[in-house]
Amino acid sequence: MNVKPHILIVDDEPQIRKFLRTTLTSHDYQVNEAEKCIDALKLLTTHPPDLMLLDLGLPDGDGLDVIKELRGWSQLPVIVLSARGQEQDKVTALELGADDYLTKPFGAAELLARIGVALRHSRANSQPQPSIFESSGLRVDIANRQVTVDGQEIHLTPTEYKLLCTMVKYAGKVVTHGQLLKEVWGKHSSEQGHYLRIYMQHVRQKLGDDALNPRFLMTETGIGYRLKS
Amino acid sequence: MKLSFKHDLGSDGKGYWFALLVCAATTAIGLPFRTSLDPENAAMLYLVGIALAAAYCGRASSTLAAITSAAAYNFFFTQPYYSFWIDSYRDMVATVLLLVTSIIMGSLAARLRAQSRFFQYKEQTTSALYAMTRELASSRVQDNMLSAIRFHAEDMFDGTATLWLAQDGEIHCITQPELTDDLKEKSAAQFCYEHAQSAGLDTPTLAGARGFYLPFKGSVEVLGVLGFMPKIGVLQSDEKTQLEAVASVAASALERVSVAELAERRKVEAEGEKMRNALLSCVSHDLRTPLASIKGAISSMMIDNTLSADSRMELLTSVHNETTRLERIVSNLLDVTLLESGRLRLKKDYYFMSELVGNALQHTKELLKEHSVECAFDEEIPALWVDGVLIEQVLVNLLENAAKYSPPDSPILIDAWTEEDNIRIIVADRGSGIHSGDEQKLFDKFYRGTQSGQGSGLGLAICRGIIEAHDGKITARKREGGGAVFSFLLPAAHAPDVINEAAA
Repeated sequence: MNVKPHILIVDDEPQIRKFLRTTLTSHDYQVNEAEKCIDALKLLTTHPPDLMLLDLGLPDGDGLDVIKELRGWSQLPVIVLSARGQEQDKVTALELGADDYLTKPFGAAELLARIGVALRHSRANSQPQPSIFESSGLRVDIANRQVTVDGQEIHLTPTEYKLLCTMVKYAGKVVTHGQLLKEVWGKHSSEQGHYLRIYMQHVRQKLGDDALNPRFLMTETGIGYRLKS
Repeated sequence: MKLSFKHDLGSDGKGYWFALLVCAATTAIGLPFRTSLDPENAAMLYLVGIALAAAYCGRASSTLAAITSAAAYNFFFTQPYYSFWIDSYRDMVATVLLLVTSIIMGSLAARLRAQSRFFQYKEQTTSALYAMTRELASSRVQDNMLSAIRFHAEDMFDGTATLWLAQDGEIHCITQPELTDDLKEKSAAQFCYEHAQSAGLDTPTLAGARGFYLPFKGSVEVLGVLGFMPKIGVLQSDEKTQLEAVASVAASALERVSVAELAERRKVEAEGEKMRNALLSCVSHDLRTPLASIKGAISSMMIDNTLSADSRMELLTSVHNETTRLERIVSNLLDVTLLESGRLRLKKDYYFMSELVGNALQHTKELLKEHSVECAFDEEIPALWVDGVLIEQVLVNLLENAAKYSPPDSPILIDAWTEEDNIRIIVADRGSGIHSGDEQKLFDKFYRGTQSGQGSGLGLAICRGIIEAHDGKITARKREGGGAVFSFLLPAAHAPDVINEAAA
């Protein structure tokens, strides 16, 4: 790509903005900064970025409101920056349409990896979905409904297959329990929560994936799951 | 029991009737023997009757008995009979003597009885006060004391007792709050509180009040005010003295409680002070040490451009490790604060052991790179019904602890099994073990055990807080063959319906 991707940083801490700016510009990104919700919304319309890094606690409001507003007119990828212990906020942000989250404090490598995944996704979304997913030995051929691990074919039940396909659809991103329930079972009921976990365990078992040391499906305790991509 | 002290019992109608009856009876008994008796003996007979009247009735009744007896004696027993005329000089003297003797006797008997009544009353008051003292002595709570004081005061006297306590120098009625708005009563109580002297009804100050107010005088300050509103609207003279006695007993009891409360508060403050000191030492030592190395490393990189790539990397690695350590201490401090604030709400859900342990291992990968971790539990172990984020934190803290206190290359064991409706989870290491007597103290905040470590003494306190929030119990013990075992029990999730679905 010739044009440097454009990232909007929304955080009220100058030191964090500085760290993000330095890291991102040295990795070939263009950067814009905002301290407040109102500035962020203004910049989103005047200088539409390719991705937004959004802190949830802003001086003039909640970052969650920015996501809500943004999702009314844009599918721009959003990565939420939040503190540990705010699991509920993370889930809310993800269900409002945020693409991912990073827990402060985070390192540069993690930041760049997440940005890479989110940008790849948004580019892929504007193109027809590839029918084959392949990563670290797992291959899912959506057109032919075929799943293989290290060349070995795996037989899944329809629900298990649907669950895996949903994870594939959001590969690399965290998918909340609520989102999975909605996409796979078509409803958002906490009573079904344990079925999701049991199905996920079945999928893991069949893929030969060990939850103790996962190869494909990562657990994000209290939030959801992530398929490594 | 209501105490009432009447100086002249029998002054009601009954006493007079009794006097007249005694007189009539004496006459009736003596009349048949009139001829065989000397008139003086007949007079003696009347004296017996008068003595009876004096013994059982008041002074007035015995006087009435004296007069009627003298008259009856004159009428029936002196010549001429059935007439108040007295013939002989001797009879006249006898009649007068009978009258005088019986009046004196009546008044003496009445005084005697009044005295005995007074002592009886005294004894009643004393035992009532004693009962109150005893009840107050067994009470340790101010509220209980106040209700006991009120109960006993109303039991002893006919009227309403009110209790007032001061708040920021202003007196409030706590037994009948509406009285606080009654200006007359409140001013009297306030005056009594401020001047440590009685006020209100029957006193020179604010006599217009319905209540009589007495201060609870402590050794240093007035502790409160006792008010008493007599039912009949006036105080009887002795009630004042008795109320003073009640107030003084109450004051000493209230003082005892306030001293005890003060001591309790001091103790809590001292505990708080101890915690603050521990926190301060944690902040000053545990936070400063990593900060010092970070600052040192960074500054040496900033001033020295000639550093080799290797030394730069070494310094940067130390900065990275120290920030990780700082991060851990800060999260621990936050967790402790959250656990102690009581704001912690468990979000219980269905969790598999393997997911929680897997994530905990992920978080401690760096720390555990020199250890081998064995997960011995069965894959089919029932799921847990817990707050997964918190239980993962417990596992992370226990793994960190094991890594910290056991030598490199030593194995760490995580095991779990079902115990009835619960799941027992253990984390065991082959480290330096636990000193006898430390098993419980290990879980205390800021306790660092006997070995010096780089821990803040918070990790295990957080574990205990989280496990107890799940109604569980976490224990530590020596492991057979060396090392330590941490063990806790958590509820298992109810097994859901079996899912049957054919493979696609």
